[in-house]
Amino acid sequence: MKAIIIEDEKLSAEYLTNLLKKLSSIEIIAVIDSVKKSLDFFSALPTADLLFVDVHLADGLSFEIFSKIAIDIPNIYYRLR
Amino acid sequence: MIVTGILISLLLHAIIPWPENDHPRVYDFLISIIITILVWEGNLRIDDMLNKKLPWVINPAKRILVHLPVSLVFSAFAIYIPMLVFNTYVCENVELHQGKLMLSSIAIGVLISFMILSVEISTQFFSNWKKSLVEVEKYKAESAQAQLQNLKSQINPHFLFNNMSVLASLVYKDQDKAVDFINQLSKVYRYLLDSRNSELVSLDSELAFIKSYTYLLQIRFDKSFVFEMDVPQNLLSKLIPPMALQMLVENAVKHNEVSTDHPLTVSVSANENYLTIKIIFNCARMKKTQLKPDCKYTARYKHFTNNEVEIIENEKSYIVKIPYFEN
Repeated sequence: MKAIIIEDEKLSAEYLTNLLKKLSSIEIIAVIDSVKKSLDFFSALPTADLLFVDVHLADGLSFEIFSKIAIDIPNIYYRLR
Repeated sequence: MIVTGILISLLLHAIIPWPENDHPRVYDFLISIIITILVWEGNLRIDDMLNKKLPWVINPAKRILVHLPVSLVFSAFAIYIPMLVFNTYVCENVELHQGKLMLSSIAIGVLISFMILSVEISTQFFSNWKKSLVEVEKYKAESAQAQLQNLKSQINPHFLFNNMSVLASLVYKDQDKAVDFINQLSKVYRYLLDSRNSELVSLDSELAFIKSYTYLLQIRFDKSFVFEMDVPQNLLSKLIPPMALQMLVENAVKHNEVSTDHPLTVSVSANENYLTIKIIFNCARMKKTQLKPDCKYTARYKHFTNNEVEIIENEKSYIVKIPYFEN
């Protein structure tokens, strides 16, 4: 299963990647660290099965991404702060 | 005041048996009023002048030692000279020239001045004392508030929680770094405990603490957070309130974007008079709320020193200058 992480703290993204690798067959194919980069990345319509999304990003809330573009992939939201 | 003059002169004339005069009574009243006005106004001027040169708050003992004699000597002269003039030009009665009578009127005048002066001085003294007591209480309250805020924010779950998340990631990824991280985190909490009851700490210890604190931030944010420090050795014994720097750094991180696109730089330097912390945020988005803590911040400082905390705002950065304190 292929998944993408939207997370601004590098360490946390790495932690999640390793955790998923250990406990499941989910492979992380990309890590994006800001609202801005997400808007660019997803407008290219990449394919993935799942999204892990941190609510608080450095330049805003991740909800902004989804209010601006339609992404067809199921999301799991989580919070660190 | 003129009314008082008239009253005093009436009083005096009632008390002292003046011999029969060859001039109308009205002149007596007039001279008494003139003397009263002179003494009163003169003493007011003396009080004003001394308030500027020797204010109560600075040196109360000296103020009393100077104020009393000056006022009394002035009052004595203010009574003697007009009376002399009066006796020479107006009143021809030789008896009145007798030293004894003059002396007794001067003595009474000075006595009355002394009584009024004592009341005035005591009132001033006590009102100033009360003012300074109120200042102390206000400071205590504000200081307690600030301390409470600090405690809340540090032992608060968020700080711990964030750092634990970082630590969890580190444990798998880089064990040596994880151990360093734990040590620095402990140093932070150690400092919180130690400095909790101190009013002032040395620049040396506060900077050591900031190094630990920003280490944690650097691990968490990686290249997005940059900390620089350049403080000359000879300034390390200067005193500042504990957490002064930390509050500013925490605020900067909380209210500004910290990302690879827009890294946050915190730069600390110092000169003889100020500790300077410069925060470069490189980003158009800066929340206005960021300045609010600084108002409470500067208020705390007002109690300690006459130098003020200086805040300079620029487009992409802001600078806070913290003055040092005397013990």
